[in-house]
Amino acid sequence: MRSPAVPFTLLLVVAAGTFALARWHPFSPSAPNAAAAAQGDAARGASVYTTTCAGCHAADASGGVGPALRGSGLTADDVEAVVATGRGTMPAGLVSGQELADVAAYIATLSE
Amino acid sequence: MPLADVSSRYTDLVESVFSTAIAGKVWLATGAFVLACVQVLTASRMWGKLQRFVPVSFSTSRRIHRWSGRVALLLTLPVIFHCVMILGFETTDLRVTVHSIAGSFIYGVVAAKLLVIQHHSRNYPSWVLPVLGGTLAAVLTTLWLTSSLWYFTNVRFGF
Repeated sequence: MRSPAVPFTLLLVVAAGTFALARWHPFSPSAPNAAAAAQGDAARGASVYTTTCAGCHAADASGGVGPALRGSGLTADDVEAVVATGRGTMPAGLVSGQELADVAAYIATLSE
Repeated sequence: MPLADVSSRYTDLVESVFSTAIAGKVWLATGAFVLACVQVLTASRMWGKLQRFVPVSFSTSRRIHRWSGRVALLLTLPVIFHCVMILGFETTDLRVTVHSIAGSFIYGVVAAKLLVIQHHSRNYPSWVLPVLGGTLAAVLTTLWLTSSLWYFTNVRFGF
């Protein structure tokens, strides 16, 4: 009869290795290149905001689980960088590409 | 390849199928979670339980169990790459902390279970394999609840 200590030790060793790798996480989320960023359309961004952002930031952007965006002073570039790399409880990359440019343009109109 | 390119190349690859990298990860994890449910049902049948609810033979259960496990493991590979190598261990709130801790354990449990199977589970005390299988299902369920379900209920339900 083999000892059950062996598989449970392996479990802990692999878990510790995964934890160490996750603490290191060598490949950081990539922020969008400002020069290459697409021009955002705030009208289209409003619908992206409703489907993707309103759940945490509230439909009127007054804040909820996530912080208030209305009157926050964020520029479109700020928004794109935060959405691309994540912040706090918000994971990186919830929106990308043209949708990211659109929603960033929309949020910039709210944050003025 | 510069390290910074790895993240964007991974993102480009996933976004060729899904709308965003996160959406891809959420659906791959959901696939793995569904297969984990299949794993629990077929394992129960193999251990003589739920015969009324899983009306398949022992050998069919075993075949389904093995293949669902292999596919589930494959589905988790891009997910774990994005979580561990790109996002990393975070403790920003309870959901993220629980997710990060459970995520650190999942491949450890997989490795332990595979080791026991490799050495023939009958060579270990009878409780070892069910405990590891149950732990794996519990960890995967925790990961799905704290990521995919959160995404579906707080962000959106779509590809």
